Amino acid sequence: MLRRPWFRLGAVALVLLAIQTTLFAEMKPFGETVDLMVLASVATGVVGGSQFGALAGFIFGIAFDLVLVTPFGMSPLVYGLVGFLAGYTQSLTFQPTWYLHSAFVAAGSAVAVFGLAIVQQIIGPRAPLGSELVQTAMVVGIANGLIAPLALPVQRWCLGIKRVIA
Amino acid sequence: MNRFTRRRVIVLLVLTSVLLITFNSTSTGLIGNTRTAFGYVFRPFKGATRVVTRPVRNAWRGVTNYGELERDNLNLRDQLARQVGNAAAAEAFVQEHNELLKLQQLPIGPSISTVIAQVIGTTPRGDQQTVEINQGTRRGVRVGMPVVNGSGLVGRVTAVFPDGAIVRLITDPQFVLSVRVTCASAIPGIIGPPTTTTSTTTTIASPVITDPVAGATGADGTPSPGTTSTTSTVYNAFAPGSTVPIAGSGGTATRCDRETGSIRGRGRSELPLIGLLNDDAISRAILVGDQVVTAGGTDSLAPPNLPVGRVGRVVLRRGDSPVVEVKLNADLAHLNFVEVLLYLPVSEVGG
Repeated sequence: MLRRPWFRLGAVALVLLAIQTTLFAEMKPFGETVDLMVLASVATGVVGGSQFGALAGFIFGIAFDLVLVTPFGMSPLVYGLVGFLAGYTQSLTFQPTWYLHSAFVAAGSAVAVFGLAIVQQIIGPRAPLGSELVQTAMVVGIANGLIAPLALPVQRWCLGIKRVIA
Repeated sequence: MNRFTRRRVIVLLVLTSVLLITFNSTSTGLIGNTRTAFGYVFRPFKGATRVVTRPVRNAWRGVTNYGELERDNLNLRDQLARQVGNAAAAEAFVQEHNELLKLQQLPIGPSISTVIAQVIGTTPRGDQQTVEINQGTRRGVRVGMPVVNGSGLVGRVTAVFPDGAIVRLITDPQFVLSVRVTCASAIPGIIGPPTTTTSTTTTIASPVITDPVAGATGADGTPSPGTTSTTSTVYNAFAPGSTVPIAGSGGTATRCDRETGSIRGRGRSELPLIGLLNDDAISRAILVGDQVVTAGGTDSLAPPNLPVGRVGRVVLRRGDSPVVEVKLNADLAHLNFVEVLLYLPVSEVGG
């Protein structure tokens, strides 16, 4: 059971959630909160493909929504979609390098910030969309892109994927 | 992976998520209970992680906040010195006020028990505005109770555990509360409308009565050593009951009646808004600087007259009630100790 990807993803989700709600709730570069849960969702998509990305995003989103007070179901929707998107985009590239993986993670994380804002506009409560959102997306994207080299091996371990070095 | 599987996964994901969102809006009780149950299970993990990551947090704070802390420390020392003098003067005023109320046989004010709590965590994601406090059901804290600090209303409890609670701040987009706008001139010491005249006299060895809000103590807010300031503020034009011109209409309205509306948060970078219920002459007479307090009432989750903030901007809309932006009294970015008012609305108590 311990070798099953879903068990490992669940365990990693709990650990990341604990870190997110304690350490990263206080460490705020430029006043913005770095989102580890979206990092893990996108990283899973990058290493495991769109299907795993979507399902991992769903799991990480559910876990995050259990501790948030925003409408339940918003995070799994957005994280699942960006996980899927990351996996799909990655599958279109030929032999992506590590920095391209980081770039995918950064872009996916930034897209997730916009996605959350858009979904929130649709289902309410409506927070104003402004230039602050661009700043949030940039900070979250860059921070997650920098942490990505650490997150990618963890997500490979979750899915039981061995890295192929050409 | 073939195309069909991909499509099936994405459709399944979207449908399940939409189902959850719909379920959330129709059956908040079940979702709330699930969240609370998960909170109970998750708290030990969170507590352990908080302990383990403390050195990293402290290092981060040391690196990023050192300069700010030093500045804050100096400012706070200055403020403390001024507050000592103000507190003595205020105490005398309160005593006098209560004696007057007794004479008039008016109620002195509701006595509400409070629980002092410390903020131990902030929001885990940028799109919600919450803080975590270290007091919960064991001290009588319940969902819905208002939370204040020395400056005014901070938010209200939205989830509660035995030894902790989550407080939704006023700036959260989901925060809604009924409030009342009262004119600044009704309360001495509050910044008045633009026509207010303030005269400051600097004397030596006279009683210390500084105006903490109007900032009459100087540009940097610090009186010169060895001198004291006596401030007298004259609210000549817009005293309670007087008439004021209404912008754009040419008419006048009576000031300082009760203008009630609901305040709604708009995220951390935008000031909360009050949507006023009535589009009438009274609501159009609201001015920048007017005080915003909780409205109270049998169904309200907060007692009446808790200070919330002051009117920062008034947007008049043709054919509609004005929209009022509120500058909050409490500094929500730097919360440390807060008080939970053990208050339940009359309708819930059954009184």
